[in-house]
Amino acid sequence: MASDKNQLSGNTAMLLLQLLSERDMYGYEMIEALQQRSNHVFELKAGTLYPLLHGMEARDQLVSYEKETGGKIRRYYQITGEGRRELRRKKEEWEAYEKAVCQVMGGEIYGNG
Amino acid sequence: MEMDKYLEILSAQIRNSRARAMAVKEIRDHIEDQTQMYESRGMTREEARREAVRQMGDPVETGEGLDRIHRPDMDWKLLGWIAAFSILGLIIQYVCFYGLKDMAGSSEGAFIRQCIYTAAGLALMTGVCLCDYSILGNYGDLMGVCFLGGIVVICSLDIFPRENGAYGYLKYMMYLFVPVYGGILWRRRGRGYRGIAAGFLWIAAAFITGTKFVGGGLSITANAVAACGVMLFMALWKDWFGVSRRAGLIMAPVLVGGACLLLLSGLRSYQIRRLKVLFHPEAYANEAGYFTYNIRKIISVLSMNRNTYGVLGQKGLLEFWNHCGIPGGYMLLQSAIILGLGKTMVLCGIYGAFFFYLFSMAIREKNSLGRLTGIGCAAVLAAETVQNILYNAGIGLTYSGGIPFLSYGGIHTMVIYVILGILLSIYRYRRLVWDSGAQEHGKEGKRQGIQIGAYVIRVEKRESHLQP
Repeated sequence: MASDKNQLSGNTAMLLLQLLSERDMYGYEMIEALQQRSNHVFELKAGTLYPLLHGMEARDQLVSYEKETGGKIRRYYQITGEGRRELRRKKEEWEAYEKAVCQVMGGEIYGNG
Repeated sequence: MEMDKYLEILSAQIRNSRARAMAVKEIRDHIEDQTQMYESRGMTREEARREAVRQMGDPVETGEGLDRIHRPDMDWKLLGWIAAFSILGLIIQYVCFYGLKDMAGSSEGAFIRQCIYTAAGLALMTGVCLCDYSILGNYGDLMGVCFLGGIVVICSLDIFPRENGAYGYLKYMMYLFVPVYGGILWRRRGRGYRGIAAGFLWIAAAFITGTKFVGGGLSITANAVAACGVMLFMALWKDWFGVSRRAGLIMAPVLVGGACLLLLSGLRSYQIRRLKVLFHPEAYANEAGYFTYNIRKIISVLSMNRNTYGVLGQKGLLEFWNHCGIPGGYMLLQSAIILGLGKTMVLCGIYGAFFFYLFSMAIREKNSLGRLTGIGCAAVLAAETVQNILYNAGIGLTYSGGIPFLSYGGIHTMVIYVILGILLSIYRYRRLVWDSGAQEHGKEGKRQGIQIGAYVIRVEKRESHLQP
């Protein structure tokens, strides 16, 4: 099941920053990792990914560099200090949102039973 | 849709050619990776390629998204700083010098000429800013040879008249070697000790050109060489040459020591006398210490917020002051005489804030060529300013040529604005110029592996998706 595009796009940056906070990756690797770790819930299109990555790089949240891997020169992305701060902010926002949803939904499954 | 068609539509949306080439390469690689993955799942090459392209999404939307990001961008803050400082500089020059009656050294129409120089400088700066500075990286060596060679030829052929045995009006041109040197160093990444030696030799060549051929203006050549030294040290610190940082740190004292030796070897007898003057100006008050001694006497009569021009006459200093050639290098002291020491110190503080902005902008630059060149350009302007402030405070080693925004002179003004134009260009193209070649962030240019002759043997971990 692929998630609704609008619902996903708001938090894609947070997911990408989380992946890059663990290790440097190139674009294709990020899509693969996102797909595997979300059990195919997040199937990000490359057309969405690259403008997002380049935008984050312009905002100094990421830096990119070229590195030869598997016989190819690839553009790797690395999270910066600003990127880590942005990730922290986004996580806090997400936790507040999640908590609010739980409180509204109520019931045992949301911890309010 | 075919891959080539997809990439053609995508690239048509991106206006900048550099961004276009970079984006197309990155997305082509992505499609290739995706194709390989589908092939490994049993698809034919054709099917796999078609599916990979389909998965990319809308090429128009992607291209437009990338185009919005990769556009030349003006550093409006820096432009604002430069415009405001240019106007402030002209106002101070007028209020403290050109606008005053019977001011010796002020030739008719000088202020109008300086206004024209400033306007022409701003226009030149705009032109330079619109050019892509990365040309320095592509043609650094050629530009260096043409630049230094051109100066040597001009000076050797005696085409232009000399002033006091030197080509004083060419001296400020030496500042323009600094950005060229950025390109020269950038081209030597990963070249090991040979690259470092070349870096030293280029500095030596610039020093010899400045001192032996241009002649005079030692302080200006020293500023340019010092800025190049800062750049070389930065390159060593950032491990550009592929030698360890420790080796870089060991080389730093050698660098400084070598620069001092070069400087001392280039000094003429009158310049050595100036060094002695610094400590005992009163002992040389009628010869080499004439300026330093009298400048210190003027400083001793300055008030924090009162005009002390009249006091100079009472103390017998007016004749000396009128001979100083105030519009060139003494405008700060003139400002302290007319406006008071307090306002002049505020002005020095504004210079400090300006350079803090320039350096912080250059350090934040992601592209290594832009970062190094930006630091060099900021360093040469800062060196000139510090030297001028020291000289106006009576503690300068050599006569300072000028100070950005406050000194009279066509060539000086133009050169300063060209340097500022390069700084603006570095910011403008920051989203359009990328470090190229196989390099890892923080280990720029380092080649990992065992080198045998012209070959490098490297063992790398295989990527999971490339496994059969």
